[in-house]
Amino acid sequence: MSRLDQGSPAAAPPSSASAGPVVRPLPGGGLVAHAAGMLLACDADGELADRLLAALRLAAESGADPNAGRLLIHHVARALAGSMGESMAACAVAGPADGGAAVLVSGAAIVTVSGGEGEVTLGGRTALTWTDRFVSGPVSRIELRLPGAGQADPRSRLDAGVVPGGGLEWLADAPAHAASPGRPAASRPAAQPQQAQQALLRPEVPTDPRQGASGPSAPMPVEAPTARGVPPVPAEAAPRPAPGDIPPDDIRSQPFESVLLIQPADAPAPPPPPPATRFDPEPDSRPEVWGGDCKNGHFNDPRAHYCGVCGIAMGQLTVIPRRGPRPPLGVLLMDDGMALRLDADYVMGRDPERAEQVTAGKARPARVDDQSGSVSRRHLQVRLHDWDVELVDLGSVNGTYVMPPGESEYRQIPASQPFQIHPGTMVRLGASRSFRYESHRKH
Amino acid sequence: MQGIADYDFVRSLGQGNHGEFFLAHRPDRLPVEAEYVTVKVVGGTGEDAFRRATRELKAFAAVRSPHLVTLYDAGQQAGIFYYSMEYLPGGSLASPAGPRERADYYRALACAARAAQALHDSGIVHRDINPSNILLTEDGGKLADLGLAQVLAPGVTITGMGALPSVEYTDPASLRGEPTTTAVDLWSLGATLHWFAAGTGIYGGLPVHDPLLTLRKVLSSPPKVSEDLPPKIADLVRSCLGDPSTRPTAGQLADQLDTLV
Ligand SMILES: Nc1ncnc2c1ncn2[C@@H]1O[C@H](COP(=O)(O)OP(=O)(O)OP(=O)(O)O)[C@@H](O)[C@H]1O
Ligand SMILES: [Mg+2]
Ligand SMILES: [Zn+2]
Repeated sequence: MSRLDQGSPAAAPPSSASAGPVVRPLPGGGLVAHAAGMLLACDADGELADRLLAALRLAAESGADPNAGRLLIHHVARALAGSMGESMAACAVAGPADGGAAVLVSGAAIVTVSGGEGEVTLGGRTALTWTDRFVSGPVSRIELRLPGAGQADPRSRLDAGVVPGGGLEWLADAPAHAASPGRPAASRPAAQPQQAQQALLRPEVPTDPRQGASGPSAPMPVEAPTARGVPPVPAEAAPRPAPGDIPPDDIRSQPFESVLLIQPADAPAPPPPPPATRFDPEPDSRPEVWGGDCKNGHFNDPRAHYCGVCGIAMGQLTVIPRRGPRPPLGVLLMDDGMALRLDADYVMGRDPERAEQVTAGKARPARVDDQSGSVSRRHLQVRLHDWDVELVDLGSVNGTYVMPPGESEYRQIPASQPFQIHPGTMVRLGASRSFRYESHRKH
Repeated sequence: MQGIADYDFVRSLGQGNHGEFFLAHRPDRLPVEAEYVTVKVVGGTGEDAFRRATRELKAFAAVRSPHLVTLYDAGQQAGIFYYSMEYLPGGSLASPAGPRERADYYRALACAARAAQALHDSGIVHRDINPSNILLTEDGGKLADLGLAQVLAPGVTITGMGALPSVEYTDPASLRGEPTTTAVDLWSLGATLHWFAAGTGIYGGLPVHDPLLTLRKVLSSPPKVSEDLPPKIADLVRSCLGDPSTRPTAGQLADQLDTLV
């Protein structure tokens, strides 16, 4: 290989000079396994450990499959589901999938992947369930860690097999010289994308146990035939709880997910993102409506007598109607100080995220709650129709009330029918929450 | 709360408008030396909002400036979003940890303006510059807390108000829903300068206990620059509140502030 031609093999320590991916065991009290780029670390009782190893074996048989990692997650999730008890065994697995890595953790295990999204950590200090995730490639490093695991000896390797240990470290491209112990993430040279990807898919280390197993690692028997027709994504992965499902004091019973933000001191400065696209996090999704320009070129409601921006008279007859992106129709000012920009529809309520219009991407959720519980889960929809703002009460228990400008009393609007409001209108949801429609556009 | 993810909390540092801050022990996995870190627990978010917020924070963290608070990681547990950053014990412009000289305020604001310029150079608008987001250090200050409100709840221009309503520091144009540009940060820097130099806000007294009234006042009354301000500072404030196209850049403002110390 070209790498060997260039280097001076005599000078390099033979155990750590490598051009391919390397797997190193971390010292510790569990069990770790490696087969064909598929990694497992667990601290589980005998029966579950057997099932986890069988899951790894099963996935490893489809080793040439670029999605073998998904199979691994699938089989491991199954094994874990079969043994969910009072406490969750610490277990971490990772394998190649779609040019990146599929990972799963349960219990108190932690997985860290340096990939296309930066450094992603999945874990659970006292988690009672498991979580899985796909991390996009190219992947340069994966670390599986059980509680109490130490640092990997840079000279150690686990080319294949099952050994006692506290975790595993997978490096796409091991440094040519023995790495200094400690945290490799900051000083490790970035893996070449092509090479790293290639490596994760087809490890260059021998995977045949008869050839490759070195040191204390035991050969991993290969027996069951390749599972066919298994869905690539684990069907029974633990559902992620929605915010609010878990009381704040219990959230640590759930797995966590973290993305590293800090830049290593020696990392090259990232290229600046294209300015124009960054200023507004949302893409421009303003719908086109009919309107007319004032003399100063402000796009207006065709019915307006005065420009909503500069106030100049519109001179109805001379305005040429055209279609253009609709400007925001103002804001809704909530009584708690929240202001919602009227450039999209909203669903308001105690739990608006799961409203049909929201999940379909047609409306934004706006969470509104009160002490007495008089606001319904999905209480009110605010709809923009051309240049008008409409309310639709979604069959709320306690109703929606409006007080148009100049009036002094609230009156209830009918359910499930659009009701147009004008700037200055106060709107009340149930007993106590209210907002006001503010706009400098009047007609 | 005892902690989140692998952070064990020591104590609460204070409740803000957009979450609660905690002093926490540094988990081993973070590649920094510090013994303690600050964790901001923002609250419940959906999956999409989490991805968006993480993307924004990554962009923020990638900006190199000695005057930006260093972010460590962002994550979620049970749908509760958090992010962690360096712990700065000096307090903020709004509530310093100890007595401070007037010059310290100018120095800290100049640092915050430099940080804003670095963000702008990377195409990022902070959106939430106010006295509580400028943290004091030994020799100046650091800008904290990228305004994530919009990212976590799209369409929201401001969220609930604490004791010190940051709406007082927000360009009314962005309250009205106009597209965000770097000019809104200049407004906020100018309003912050006015607040500590004059001892009052640019809207005078605001009915802080009635958010709706506060917002109406901010949206309906033009800001007023205090007559007690020295002319040089008054001009500087005015330039920040003026027409967006004529506002100074954040870097220019920083240079001006340096001449005042
Ligand atoms: N990195 C930090 N180190 C130490 N204390 C901090 C840090 N960041 C914030 N704080 C403190 O946390 C408290 C709450 O901050 P703040 O009022 O800014 O809340 P917030 O939720 O960020 O609101 P806003 O979004 O309006 O800034 C303040 O006392 C502030 O000084
Ligand atoms: Mg803050
Ligand atoms: Zn006009």
